[in-house]
Amino acid sequence: MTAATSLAFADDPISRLDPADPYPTYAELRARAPVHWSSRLSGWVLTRYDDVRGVLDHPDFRIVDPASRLSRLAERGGPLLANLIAFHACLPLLHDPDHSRGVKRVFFQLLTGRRQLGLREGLAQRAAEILRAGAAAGRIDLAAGYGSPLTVFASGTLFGLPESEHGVLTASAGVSTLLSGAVHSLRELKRLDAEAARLVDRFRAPLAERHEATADDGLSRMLRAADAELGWTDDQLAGFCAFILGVSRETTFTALSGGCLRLLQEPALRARLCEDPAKRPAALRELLRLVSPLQFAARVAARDTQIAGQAIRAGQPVCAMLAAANRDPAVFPDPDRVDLEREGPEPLAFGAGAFRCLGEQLAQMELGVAIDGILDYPGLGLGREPVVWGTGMHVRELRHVPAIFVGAEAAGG
Amino acid sequence: MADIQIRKWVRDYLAEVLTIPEAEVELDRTLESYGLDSIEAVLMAGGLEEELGFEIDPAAFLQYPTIEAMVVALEQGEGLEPLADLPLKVAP
Repeated sequence: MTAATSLAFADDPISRLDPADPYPTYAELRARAPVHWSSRLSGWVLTRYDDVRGVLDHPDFRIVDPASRLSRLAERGGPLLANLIAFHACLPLLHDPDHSRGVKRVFFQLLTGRRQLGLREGLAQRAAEILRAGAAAGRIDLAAGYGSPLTVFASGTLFGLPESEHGVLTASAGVSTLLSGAVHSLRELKRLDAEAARLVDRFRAPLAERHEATADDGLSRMLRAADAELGWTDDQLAGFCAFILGVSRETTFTALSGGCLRLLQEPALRARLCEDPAKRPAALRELLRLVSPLQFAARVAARDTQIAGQAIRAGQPVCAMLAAANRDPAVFPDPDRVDLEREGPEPLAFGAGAFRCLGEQLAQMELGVAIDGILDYPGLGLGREPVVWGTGMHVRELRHVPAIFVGAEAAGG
Repeated sequence: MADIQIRKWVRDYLAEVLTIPEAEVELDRTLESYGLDSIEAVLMAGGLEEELGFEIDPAAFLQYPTIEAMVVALEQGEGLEPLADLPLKVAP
């Protein structure tokens, strides 16, 4: 693979990518220019499993650091976008082993409560309620009306927020877009800063309350750990909580609704999973491989290096396309098919290496519950209205999956 | 906005950022060759936006082979979009 191959493109295939179906573009790149310089993304685009995996596992490729960039923007006379900086402040810490351990410990305080809270059971109950109401109405939107409220319920419960306050967890409006390494105009950065402010602010009052009265909920445990491990202020922790929410919301609910969509498209698979529930974990793995809500992980080369023979200069961005790697026929034969017996390497929906997603088990649990719920309704099918995908290239967001209940279920399940 | 005004704005802006006389700003170079990175592109695009009243994609700034090419493109309205309902642009 040489630079000349990339230059052979008269235009950049990435600029023709359809967010509703990016896979033909990934396949074209994988076949013709697996290490492709995208003028649209101003970075290298990797589409083969081995190259993507290699970058994720290699210490020469660092995660993007919007906080430092935003600080430099202010130093050079630009606006001080303090909320966006607070939102991304944990990222540079992840490169330092001690700090990285501290950040992870704080995060895991959130997850440790899930058994005690009976999160899985609570979520299953919520899923059943939503589906029952949908069956009574004869219709349901499996994205906005099922995947989305289930993820909100899960994060709200873990943080320890009363359900009346869960509504504040629904908005994140693309704040995590800077993690793609994107360069935005000042105007857009200011809009994102206002969105980040809304998210960060939502955690300030609950954190202050927990200073007053000790509770054994997620936020209280995080507060104690953040103080002990990292010496963080409430504002720093509020930024981290906003970050957790900002990076998990669209990805998780798209995993849920995307998994449900795929099941509705494959009646034989649904029947198989109803007959043989032991196959459900294999199905989860396949569904996550095929949905891959986070389409790419952005990295920056820390030094001059190479990928599959292509020279990469220090500082150049690299977009490791997780979604493309997950359908690389060299490692996943017949890659678009759900294969419950599939072997081979682990799919990369959650990334890999030092910066692998920390919320993987939680997301898998949520998807498992969402799918169990769907499988109780064999009469659920896709409606006539179209499925609607968002326009993002970084996080692929499934906005609407209109579905209908037919037969006896429509009368109340 | 006339070509000459964009050209003058860019020349003035770079002279100030680089702390060199305007006459020494060479437009046939890249921003990168002046040591200016994407952060500078964001600031410069922000300044030009206020001048022109159009949204400018700062990522595009770094794509042009020279500053001259960028000035010409801006003069021809390339990469300019009216300030309304812009979709998110993704470009590192």
